[in-house]
Amino acid sequence: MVESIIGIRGKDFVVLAQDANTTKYGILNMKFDTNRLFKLSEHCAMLAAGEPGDVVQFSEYVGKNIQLYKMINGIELSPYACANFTRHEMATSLRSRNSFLANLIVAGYSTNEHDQQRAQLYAIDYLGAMVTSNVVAHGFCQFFALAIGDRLWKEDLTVQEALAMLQTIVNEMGKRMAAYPHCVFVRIIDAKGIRVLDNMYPEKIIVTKPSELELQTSADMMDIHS
Amino acid sequence: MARRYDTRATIFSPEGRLYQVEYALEAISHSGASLGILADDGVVLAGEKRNISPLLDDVKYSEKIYKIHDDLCCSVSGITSDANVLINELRMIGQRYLLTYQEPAPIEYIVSRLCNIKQAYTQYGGKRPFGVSFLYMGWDKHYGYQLYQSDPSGNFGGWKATCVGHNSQTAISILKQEYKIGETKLNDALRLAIRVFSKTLDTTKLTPEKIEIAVLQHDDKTNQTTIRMLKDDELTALIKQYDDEQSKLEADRQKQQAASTTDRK
Repeated sequence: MVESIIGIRGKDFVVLAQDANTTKYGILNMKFDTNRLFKLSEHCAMLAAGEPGDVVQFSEYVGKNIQLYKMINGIELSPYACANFTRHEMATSLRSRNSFLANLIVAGYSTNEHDQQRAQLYAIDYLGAMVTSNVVAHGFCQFFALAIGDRLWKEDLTVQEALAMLQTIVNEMGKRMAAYPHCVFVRIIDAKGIRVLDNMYPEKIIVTKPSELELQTSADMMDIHS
Repeated sequence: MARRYDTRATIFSPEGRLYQVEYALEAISHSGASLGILADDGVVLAGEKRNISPLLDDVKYSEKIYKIHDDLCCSVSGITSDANVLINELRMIGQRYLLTYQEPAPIEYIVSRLCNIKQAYTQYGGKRPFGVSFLYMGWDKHYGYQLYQSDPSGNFGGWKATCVGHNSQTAISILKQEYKIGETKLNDALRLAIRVFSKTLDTTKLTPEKIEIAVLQHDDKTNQTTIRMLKDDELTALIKQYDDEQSKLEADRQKQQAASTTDRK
């Protein structure tokens, strides 16, 4: 819940962001460069958050199976097919002895010219529900990411606009979330593939010093001779 | 001969051959022909019907050509009952893929999976191979229009034009001479199919009852594939077109001969 994963879809790209903290016992910050991204194919990747063991187990299982498909059939699965396969696995495992507490974002760029919508973004939750949207997020950051997305997303979003939106979201998270995201990893998926962009940091919050007036007590004000 | 080795399907002969597979191919060579031709704007499958009794109840009966899914259709040559089992399996393979990935299966995926099943019957289990060869025509977003052939051994290959079944060798040699790679449109392919069948079928005269022809086309704008069986009147028209061409050629040839004999005088 405290881990944040966010996806923003633009004109012909998808931006993926994830916080990089691993917390333990609700209070300790164990690691601040955690990777939550799992590559599915050359133009498709998945962000996963939730129960740490489940996240890795499920994501690696899905990722390796998608690689196996490419080896057997010689063609890459489209992002739509990857997302549906992932959802299918999640839903099947839920109705069996071993379920996974993992929330996912699947994002990709379809290299097939028969697809109308080339940049694709899907969110899958741990119960196997899948939606597609322009801005998706999992965890407490949802409150901020979706609201800011509603305000700032527009048709034909450019990369700069998407990154500006993301910086706004990260700043808000830094201000309002007790689990402070020291650093946010940012990646982009477009026609050229999956690339890593610069890290994003929440802006430093400047708080005004408390005024000296508060240091005065009623007793101090009684002294009329000094 | 090496008859001792025929009893078990899954055994090699001393010469390194699988007799049961070869016998299956022999069975297919006696069955009705299937012909497939790839065109630039579609694919054609044609089948020679053997069951043409007037007593047959033909409400919605297709002897040779079956739809597997929206973008894939196949033609059967060989033992019909074996074919029915495999056609069911082909459809299941397509639907299982659709359930998991929510998009149509690539054609090669379906053909490949069925051929793995066919191969299993040549290696273990002690059962005989399926006595069927299929010709598949389909469209997918990866490779566009495709034509495949599979046989009882589990081998499959992609073709521009091919034929299986009765007199297939003759058909293939005609196709080798007459098929134009990269310049064949659907109408050319249909005319070529009629031409080949006129020469390979046992009957003297080609009629719509003796053949089945299906056409597959994909519309890029609507992203829909249509698979259509040609109706009797369309077949009649094609056959008539071929007959007219032949009579014209014959008339020209006779005129040539008459001219050359008069010259000699």
